Amino acid sequence: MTLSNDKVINQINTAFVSGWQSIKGKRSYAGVSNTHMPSNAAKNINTCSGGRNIQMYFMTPDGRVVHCLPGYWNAQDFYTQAGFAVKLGNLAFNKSISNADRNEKFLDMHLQKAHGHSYGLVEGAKLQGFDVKYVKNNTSDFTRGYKGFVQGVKLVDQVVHERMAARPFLPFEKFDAHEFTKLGIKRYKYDFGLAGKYGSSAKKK
Amino acid sequence: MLRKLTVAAVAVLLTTGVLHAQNVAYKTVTGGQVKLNVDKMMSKIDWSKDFNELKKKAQAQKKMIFWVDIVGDLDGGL
Repeated sequence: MTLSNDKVINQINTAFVSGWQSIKGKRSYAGVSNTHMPSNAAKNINTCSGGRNIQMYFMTPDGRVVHCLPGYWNAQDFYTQAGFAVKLGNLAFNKSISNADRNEKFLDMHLQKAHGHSYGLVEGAKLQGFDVKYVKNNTSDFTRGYKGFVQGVKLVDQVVHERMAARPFLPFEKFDAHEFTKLGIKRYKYDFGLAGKYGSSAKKK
Repeated sequence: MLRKLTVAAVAVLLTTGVLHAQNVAYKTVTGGQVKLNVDKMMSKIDWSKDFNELKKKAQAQKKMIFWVDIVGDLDGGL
């Protein structure tokens, strides 16, 4: 739904060249949920849900990752994040600053997004219950410390920016998607897609 | 003093997102519409499957790269 939005298509075609590959059966972190055909009904889900099923990378022309959006993002949030990626890309082109300063600026920009923006802008960036259980058991950066006012599990987009901040301009080949996509479980049960594996699509067509 | 503490607490909560309930307005899209969306995405965006070729193209056109890793096919079953 997101990549068929006119505003998004225009943005992609203006600022980027585009490509894709299937990671099905090729990456250990890839999701293994039900099969979904283009003719099956669909519905929007929480931001970043299905982060193991799809990862959308934004890179410099020489293939260094400046941002990665895992899972579902609605059109407006995607548009905002892609615009942010363009700003990060411009940083890579800036020859007037040292690599150290460039990396520091990269870190600052992602952390400002993680902690400084209004979370009302990122609709539904809250983990679902089964994913909360997963991240509590399998990650260390989702759970806030026990000191201070705020406790509990962070919003997903906040963690995405924090993880990106620690990965400045990594070549795509070296990007550790296995760790980056630890945002939730590998297998979802849902009622769309082909019948027979999990749920049934017949009533939703 | 109490007022200052309250203001500080609310500021922290706002900046950390705690006060923003993240309720998604779930909307179902029919299979027919999904098919139309996929067709549009495939026809309006010039997709490559060769990463090295895409890098050359990006450098030639001075554009960034948008790359999708997906379980399944972008234009087929996921």
